[in-house]
Amino acid sequence: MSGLHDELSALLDDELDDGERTELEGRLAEDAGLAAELTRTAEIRSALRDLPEVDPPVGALEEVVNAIRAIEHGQRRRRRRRLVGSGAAMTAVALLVVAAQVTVPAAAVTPDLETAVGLHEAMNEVDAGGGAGLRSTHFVDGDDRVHRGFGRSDGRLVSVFSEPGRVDWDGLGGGSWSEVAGAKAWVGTVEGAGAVVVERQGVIVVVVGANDLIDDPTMASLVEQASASGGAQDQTWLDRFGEFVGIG
Amino acid sequence: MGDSDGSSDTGEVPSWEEVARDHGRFLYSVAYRLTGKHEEAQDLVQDVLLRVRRGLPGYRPGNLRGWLSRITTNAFLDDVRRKQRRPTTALPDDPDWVLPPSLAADEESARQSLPDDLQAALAQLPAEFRIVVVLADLVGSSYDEIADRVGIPVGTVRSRLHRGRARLREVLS
Repeated sequence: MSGLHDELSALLDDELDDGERTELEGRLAEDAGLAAELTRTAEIRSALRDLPEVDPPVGALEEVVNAIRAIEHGQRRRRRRRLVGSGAAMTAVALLVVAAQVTVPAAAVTPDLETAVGLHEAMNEVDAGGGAGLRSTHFVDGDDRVHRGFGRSDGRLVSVFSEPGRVDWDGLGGGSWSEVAGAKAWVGTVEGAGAVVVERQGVIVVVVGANDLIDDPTMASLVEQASASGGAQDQTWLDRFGEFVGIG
Repeated sequence: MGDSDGSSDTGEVPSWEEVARDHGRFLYSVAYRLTGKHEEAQDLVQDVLLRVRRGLPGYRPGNLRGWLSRITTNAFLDDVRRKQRRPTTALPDDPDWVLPPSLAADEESARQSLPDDLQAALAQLPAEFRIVVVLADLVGSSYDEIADRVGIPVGTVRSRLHRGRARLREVLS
């Protein structure tokens, strides 16, 4: 398709300069095919412009706002902790960096369970008394997207987080060891919330509020689906999870 | 849904929650036209509001809807690029994991997606064409504004817009 044809839309949109307009109008007077194309383009342009504004499904925007409030809440908690612990942490971090270089493979990380629990609790607060309508949400962090999935089991919130990586198991502290979906799992309590950490297929999966589900097939299903998503873009299982009722 | 409609800039910088309240429908509508799916539109709006929240301290009051549509298209393009870099496979349906969809929500969606054939045709356009068509015909942006927001020359805007409209014509005919 030539530039001349491209100018048809520009003519309709009043985006041609005087010279271009005069030249194109001359061609249109001589070329019935071009004039017909202008008419057809005008029709589709008009149809597009007549499309109605789309109303979001009921509650959709409220869910988005609640999810962002939960993220904000979690970030505030995290900042407060950083401030409180900054003095002692400075020395500890320096030691940890040296130790990590010597003993921990570069890709291994200790999942930030406190933030996960903070987000979990924040979501619980902003959706206090909410039903099963919570949806998955996510948080963009550079090129990686950390997934946060929320759902309810018998009125109790369960949150799932996943991201690519390997677990530094030594950093998890007191807890017990188990197995989920054929993978090693850490089960423990963080600030009063039950937490499960699993590494499967190069993906770290953290489930908060669900340590009593450790032997339930639902937990294996959660972990399988979270790790199958690669901790990456696919929202499918999280979207389902947000709609899911009756976990466990 | 023009670029300047309803922007109601008062010279004050709104909070992200005010943006969500006052412009959420606009954001959702643009997001839905770009993604073609309600779930993805909701994700995109969430991404946009997170970016708005981060960007508000540097926002200078002016054309708020123009700023929002720039963020929306950037977020959409980032998402498209991310999917291209890291393609994912949809998981098979697991009936144990899926609740029957809410009838009310489905009916609502069906009403809102009319006329379906044009929306479906729009969803089939390659993303780079769809963005230009949505910005021109649904947001009401000028070619200069589109070129600035998408980061392409005005001549490319002109070309993509006409070809996008032509493709829609073909699909609908």
